[in-house]
Amino acid sequence: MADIEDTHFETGDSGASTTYPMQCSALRKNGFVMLKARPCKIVDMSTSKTGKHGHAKVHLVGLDIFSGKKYEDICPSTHNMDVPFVKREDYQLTDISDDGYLCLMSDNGDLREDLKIPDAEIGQQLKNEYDAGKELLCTVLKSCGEECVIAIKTNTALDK
Amino acid sequence: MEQAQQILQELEAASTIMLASPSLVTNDQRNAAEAVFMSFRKTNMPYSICRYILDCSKVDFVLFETAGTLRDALIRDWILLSQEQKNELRQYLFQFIMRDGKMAPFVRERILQVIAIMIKRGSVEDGGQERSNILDEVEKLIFNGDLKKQVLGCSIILALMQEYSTTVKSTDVGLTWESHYAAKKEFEAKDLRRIFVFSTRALHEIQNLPQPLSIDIMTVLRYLLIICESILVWGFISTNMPKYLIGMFEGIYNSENSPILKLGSEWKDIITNPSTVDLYFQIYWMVRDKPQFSHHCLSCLVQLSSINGNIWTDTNVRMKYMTNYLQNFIKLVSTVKILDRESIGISTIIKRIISGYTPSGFMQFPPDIVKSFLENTTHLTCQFAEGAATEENLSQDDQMFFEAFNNILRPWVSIIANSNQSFPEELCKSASIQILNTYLKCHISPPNGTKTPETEFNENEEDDRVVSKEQLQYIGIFGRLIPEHSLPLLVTLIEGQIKEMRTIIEHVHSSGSCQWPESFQQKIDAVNEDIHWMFLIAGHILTVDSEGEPSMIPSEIMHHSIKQSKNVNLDLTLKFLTNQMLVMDVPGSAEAVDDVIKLVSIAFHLCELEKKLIEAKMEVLCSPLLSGTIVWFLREFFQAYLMPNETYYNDLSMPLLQAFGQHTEAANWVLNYLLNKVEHNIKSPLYVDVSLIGDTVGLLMSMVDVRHKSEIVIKCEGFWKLFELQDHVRQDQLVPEVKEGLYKAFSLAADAFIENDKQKDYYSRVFTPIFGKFRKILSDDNFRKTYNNDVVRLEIMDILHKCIGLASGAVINTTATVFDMIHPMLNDCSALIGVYHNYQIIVHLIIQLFVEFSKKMLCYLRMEESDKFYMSCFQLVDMYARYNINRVSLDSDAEDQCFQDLYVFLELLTHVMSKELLDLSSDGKTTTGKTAGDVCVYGLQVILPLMTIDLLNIPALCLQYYKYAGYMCEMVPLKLCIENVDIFKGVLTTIELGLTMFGHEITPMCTDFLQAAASFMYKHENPTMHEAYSLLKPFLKFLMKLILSCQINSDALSSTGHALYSLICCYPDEFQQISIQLINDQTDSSVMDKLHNAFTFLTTGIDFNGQHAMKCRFKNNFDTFTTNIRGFLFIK
Repeated sequence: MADIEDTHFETGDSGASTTYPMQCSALRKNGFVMLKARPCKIVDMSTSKTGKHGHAKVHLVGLDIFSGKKYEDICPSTHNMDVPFVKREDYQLTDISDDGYLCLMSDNGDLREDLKIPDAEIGQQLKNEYDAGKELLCTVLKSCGEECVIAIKTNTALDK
Repeated sequence: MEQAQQILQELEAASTIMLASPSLVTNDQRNAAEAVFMSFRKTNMPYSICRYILDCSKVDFVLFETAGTLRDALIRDWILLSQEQKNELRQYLFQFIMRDGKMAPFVRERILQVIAIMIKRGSVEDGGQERSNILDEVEKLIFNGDLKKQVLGCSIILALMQEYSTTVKSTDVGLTWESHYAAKKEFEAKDLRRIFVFSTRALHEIQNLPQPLSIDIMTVLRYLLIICESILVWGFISTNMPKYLIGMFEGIYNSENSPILKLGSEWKDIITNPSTVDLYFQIYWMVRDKPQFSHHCLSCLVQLSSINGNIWTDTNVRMKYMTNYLQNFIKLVSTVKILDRESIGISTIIKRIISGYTPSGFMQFPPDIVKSFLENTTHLTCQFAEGAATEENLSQDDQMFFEAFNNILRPWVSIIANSNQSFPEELCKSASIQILNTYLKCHISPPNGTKTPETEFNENEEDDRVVSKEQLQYIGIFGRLIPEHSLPLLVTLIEGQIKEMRTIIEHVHSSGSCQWPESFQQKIDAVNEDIHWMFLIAGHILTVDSEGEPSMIPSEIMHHSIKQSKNVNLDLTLKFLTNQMLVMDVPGSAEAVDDVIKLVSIAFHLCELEKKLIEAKMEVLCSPLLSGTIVWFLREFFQAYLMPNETYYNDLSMPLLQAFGQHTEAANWVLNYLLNKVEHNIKSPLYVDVSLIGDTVGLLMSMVDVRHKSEIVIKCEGFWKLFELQDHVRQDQLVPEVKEGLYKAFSLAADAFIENDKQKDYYSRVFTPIFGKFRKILSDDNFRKTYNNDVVRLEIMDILHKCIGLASGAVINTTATVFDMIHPMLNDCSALIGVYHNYQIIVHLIIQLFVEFSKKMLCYLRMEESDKFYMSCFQLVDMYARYNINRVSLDSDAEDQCFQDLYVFLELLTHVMSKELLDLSSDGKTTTGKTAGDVCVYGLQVILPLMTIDLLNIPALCLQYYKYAGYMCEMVPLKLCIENVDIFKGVLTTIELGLTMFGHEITPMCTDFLQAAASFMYKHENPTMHEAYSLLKPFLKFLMKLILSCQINSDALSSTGHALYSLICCYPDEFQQISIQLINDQTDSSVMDKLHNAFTFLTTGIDFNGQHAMKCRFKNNFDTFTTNIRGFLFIK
């Protein structure tokens, strides 16, 4: 993910909280949680006790939703954890600038040009399909002031 | 000869490489060496070469491989060899093993196996004549030979018995299963008894030798014991037993599980002669301290303890035999302390003795023997209980006493059930007291018990309630036989622990700190652990696990309560209960309060204590585990005791009736108390414990499960407080399981309203708030913008959880109402899947809602409603497809997401499909609209493009997919094969993969699919008109090639035979062509002939008319066919 800090300052929602608290025991697999100050998707969750009659602790394994990096944490189940607000929105791809920025149009017609082509393979595929003249939908993932294109879909007749 | 010499050199060189350490040879070298042996195995007519090698080589590995080659060749060429050749070869092998005293054991075993195979194979032809002669020789060896010859004789017998004993897994000897079976029966009838007789005689001779025995003699003794053990655990199978059962019988070879010995009358002399049983006990005394001997001897004793069959024509003879056995047994167990390794065998003997006789049978034994047997059994039960506890304390891996204890508890059920008839009641009562006391002692800490604090806590250990379920049930039986002892004892002990707890609390309170030393924590844990166990025991005494039947007050407890009621003060009893009092706090209450009520009051008292500790922020002193155990106890109590159906009982106890009877004030109070407990638990910080969640929801669920009780529950204030709970508790604290559990309970409770209107009123009271919120969100003009707000998304998820709960609580009587309520939402939901396609968690909840719907309600839905549901399903599938096809994701767990999506989708479709099978709605099925099958086919169309090979490689998904595909082809072949041929084409691609790619479990599912498709096409009118006909055709050849190359595992062969039959029905001409082609593909003319014959045999007497009887007959031919071709297609 290029330029995390840049995007952070440019798109930070002014004042609105980026996370909300949740009791650790209410978290579930496939949900989200902040681990080591990163927004993560919970891929594994287990409880453990200090003794037979002890109180449960929750062991969380999460993948950073942007980088895919793995984080772990353990916390008493009665404590609160921060849960990131995670948004995913679809945009129509309208153009790709020479310096690798995408021109995206939202459902209500707003345009934005502040996101780069993703680095991974998907970026190349995006470029190829765009060059081939296909209509593309990009899903933009947004959380904790960070944003990136996380999925693409060629627009089929079905959508029309 | 030169050729043989050369081969020998090659083999010896290769063996050096094979046995070299990995650092010295490369993988390629090793593979090459392996290939040398593989190719040697397939040598044609290798007999003289093998003899040369056996004579000349000194390398054990080469000798071993040579024996293997010989074995394979003999099996293959048996019919081609002359009788002389065979005799000569066998003589040679005999001499070979006699000659060389220093031969490696594994070479010797292998050669013995070859000899045994030859003897067995030969006996199929001469009816066992030759074998009898050989046995004569062997017998001479054992009685007259030197020690080496004796050992050899024993080894031959063992090798022989091994060959004859199993039939199901022995296709590799080139015989059909039927011939194996016949050979076994013949051997069993002719020679088995004789072997037993002379082995027993040999044991006698050894027993008479002066002690101690030499090592050599001990070796012979061990062999003889193994022989006798093998005979006594021999699967004497009745001719009518189906093959798969025979397999089960033959597969079991240990003393605890081996089938009970069934002997014919010809065994009478040897078995009923008292000296035989005496002998085995005496030998056991002799070898008891030598584990490698004693195990075999104990197996013999286990088998001798329980003999069935025609051997017992005279009951007196049987009684005499058994009396002698019992005397020997009692002498053994009353003299020595049983070791852990013996305990399982000993407990099995007791179990079998008790189960072997009817109660009246037992009455015929001399009373002093029965008494002594029972006393010893009691003593052993206590000893094993203590042993099991020690094992647990030491965290031993081997838990032999634990197993023995479980084992020895079983016969007690019938002992206690027959107390007063065959077993004296006083004896049973005293046994119960001893066993219950011992068990209690083992599970509580000093000074009352012996349990030491747990040194190490193992996360993965299962709950005590699960691990010790069976034990606790038996302990409950003992406890109910002596309630006047068990109940007051538990009351005193638990109250003692509560007193301890009070001291602890006081201490913590006065010190004002929640930090304390380890030793203090241990003390707290010990108190919690003791109370936990005592409530487990109390719960199992007061109630019986009824497994589906309505739970009742056990008659023993009822009688005890009635007996006690003479002294009981009713007012005090009620006051006691509603004030959660304890005996130790109320002088004089021990006599004046009913015992059951005392225990319930203690449970309530503990609930109150927990509440107070939480209020005082001292919840660290509470144990979530104990809290769960109390909730479990309350649930069991509720089900059996609260508001009992009085018509079920002959006698009723006044105190119980006053406290818990229907329409009493006290019962109503208890009900509200329990509902408050549920509410309290949901709000409690202890509630994060996963199993406590389950227990609490379980308690609530059981309260609304029985109609006459739930009628009253829904009128309780506490019930509606639960309903309002969601508004008071912070949303982030209610976990999904609670939401779903609560709403499932709300839904279940509706079954109490038989009248439709009242039911509707109730549901709208429950449902309207949810529905209102849902409508409000969706009808908001700004929804297109607000849908992505976090608050909105959380709200939607909350609503979905609740609806899932409601749907999963629907029952036959409420389905129509629930459907009317939720159905309008379903359509919105399928639209929501589009809106929220980027949020997997919501997508899943929506599909989950559909799954619950189809699982719980679809089979009761009327035609019109089903149609509506199907339409919603179509929309759902459409919408899902629209957003997921052609999508590429960067998510790090994208594949996992895909897997989860498809898995739950397949689950949905499978449930929908079940409507085709199970339709309980009252109106008929004639419909012009869509059916469940249409939904399923349509769903498959969406799933297929998403299903990649990578995904199919995930076993759970793979299994689910192929199960579904097979299910569909079976249920709605017309829709799949004819009406949606494109989908059929796609599925066939996956079937082709599944036949070979995903392992043994999947192959039969694919052949079943082909079978269903082919037999459908065969029966369909003008099959050739349809594309499916030509699509299916290539599978005939594909399958035949797989069969001929032996790529189909033996477990899948049965279904392959059926599939092949149906395919041949469809394509008889192609079958002819393919067989000719396959025959012509062979290079060796003799193989061509054999294959031709095999194919001819395969179709002999078979009409390919699709009828079931023919299919079965074909299946038999097919079995022989595969055994047959294995014999000649795999040699060079």
